[in-house]
Amino acid sequence: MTKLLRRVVDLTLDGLCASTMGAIVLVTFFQVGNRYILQYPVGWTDEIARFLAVWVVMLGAARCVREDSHIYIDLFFNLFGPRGQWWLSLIVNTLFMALAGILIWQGLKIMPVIGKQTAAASRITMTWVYSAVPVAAGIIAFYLIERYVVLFKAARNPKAQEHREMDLD
Amino acid sequence: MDFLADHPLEMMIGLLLTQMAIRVPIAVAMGMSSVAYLIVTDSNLVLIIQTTVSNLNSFTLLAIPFFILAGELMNMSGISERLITVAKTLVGHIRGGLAHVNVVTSTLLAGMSGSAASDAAMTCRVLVPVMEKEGYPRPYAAAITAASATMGPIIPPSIPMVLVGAINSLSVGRLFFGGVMPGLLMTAGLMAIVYWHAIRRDFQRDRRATLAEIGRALKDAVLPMLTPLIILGGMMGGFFTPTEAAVVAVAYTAFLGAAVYRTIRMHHVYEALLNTVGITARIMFIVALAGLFGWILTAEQVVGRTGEFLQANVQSPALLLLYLNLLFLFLGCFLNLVTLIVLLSPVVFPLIELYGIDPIHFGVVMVLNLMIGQLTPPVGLMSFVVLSVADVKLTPFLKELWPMFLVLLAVLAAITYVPWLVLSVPDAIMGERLG
Repeated sequence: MTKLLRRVVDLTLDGLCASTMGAIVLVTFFQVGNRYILQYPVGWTDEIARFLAVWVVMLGAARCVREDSHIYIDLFFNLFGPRGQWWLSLIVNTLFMALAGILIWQGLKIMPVIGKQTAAASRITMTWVYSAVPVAAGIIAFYLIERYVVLFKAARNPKAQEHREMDLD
Repeated sequence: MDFLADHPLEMMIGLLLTQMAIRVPIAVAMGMSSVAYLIVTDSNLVLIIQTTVSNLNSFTLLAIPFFILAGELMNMSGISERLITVAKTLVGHIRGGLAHVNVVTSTLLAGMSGSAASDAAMTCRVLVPVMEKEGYPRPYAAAITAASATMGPIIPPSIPMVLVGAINSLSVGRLFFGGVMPGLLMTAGLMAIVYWHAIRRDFQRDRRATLAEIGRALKDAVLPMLTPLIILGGMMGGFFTPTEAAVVAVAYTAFLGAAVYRTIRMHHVYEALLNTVGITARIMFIVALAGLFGWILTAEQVVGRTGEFLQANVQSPALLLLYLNLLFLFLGCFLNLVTLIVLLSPVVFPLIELYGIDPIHFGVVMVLNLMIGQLTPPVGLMSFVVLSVADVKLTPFLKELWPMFLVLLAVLAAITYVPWLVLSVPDAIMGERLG
């Protein structure tokens, strides 16, 4: 069941990321084409491309949590033994979770204010733009919960425990 | 608690460094240390949402995913191999042939893609095995690949230059053109050191390619080699903004791969889009959360305070440039390029303008400096990529790398103290800067 859920989230996220990126390319290309071929520039292309960029970066950041590919420095981390690394990973995960929580909380809090604003050219409400933050932070939290599960499983696994104690000697 | 409330800025920077040290992702470290600042100063947390969205909501920054995507498509469509063939026929006959080919390939690739790491991986995969077969020590092959890959972001198009331009409201076009001459200097310098090595260590050379062979190689690569002309020409003539030029490069590369060479299939496109989102998010998530951090630095008037201190202690611009270069080289050993650009720009750029240093000149110097930092251990992305793709150990690699490293430092010194090397091209093309 949880495996199925994870798979559904994975595939949906990948699909959303790729199609949003594709849409940004098309919209921007349309902007250039419009100006030079049809001689009829429209104002909203620049705006929509920027708004989609907010989405693609936030969703992509969630994807990077899944792949563990965010940029970090592991210079000092590698100096720790397995037990120390386990604790550090727990702290890192918790800090990330706290950030995701704040982004969801504040992101939802700002919604009523932002809902009254509309974008200059396309006239869509800014809710469409700002909701990228809490939505993506929600997906980030989803993947972080999974990492907690992996971490605690590793802690309970007696084999890993043995291994760790051997390393400590 | 009172102590923290009195020194919120110091606390924030302390938290940032502590978090970075224990492998917290840089973006999260920036976000959480800024949040801590907001909490102790009793400010509204909602600022984090506004600054994040406004930092991402930028048309200039969109050039980053586009240049990454163009590079992805280029690698998938086999265009890179065609460029290597061109380089081979042009410089293969010089003593140390394949090492020169490596340098020239990096120069050509740099003119088409904006991502140095993927260029390095590409040349590494293709050229290092061939070089080894012809008698080059593998660490040497890896070292010249890494050293020449630093040209990627100096020769336009360039992702770091887009970042510098967007963060500091500088003309990305000028920064691009500013990199042209330093990039060619790097090519010349690296080829000179390769030539010297080749004589001393008796490296192989190829037979000279016939005119017909050169012609064939050029014919096979002429369409992709038009890409830099489209990008730079389009910007030069004022037809495109850098972002638009980047999207045109994407469309052109996709057209070449799908319609002309017929090497790109639908699943390639999906894969390229996903890879692009991954690389973009890694860079831009840092930019996003640096928004609040930058806001706080401004609120605390860090620039003003540092500026007063500096002007009291550092008299000449030349000395300031020296100190800043040394600082960047030192920090470059530990932090990656994007982090440093995002973290330092808001403070450093206003400072150098106090000293009358041209920000375009300084932007190019900074990017070159930080690219050299990508080579240095313990944290050097370029070295990591090359070491893992070529499967070489660090010590022999560094032994081969240091003369090339010195060449790059010499170029850095030259462009730091001869601004003309950077500024003459953009000034000639786009006119003198006003003000």
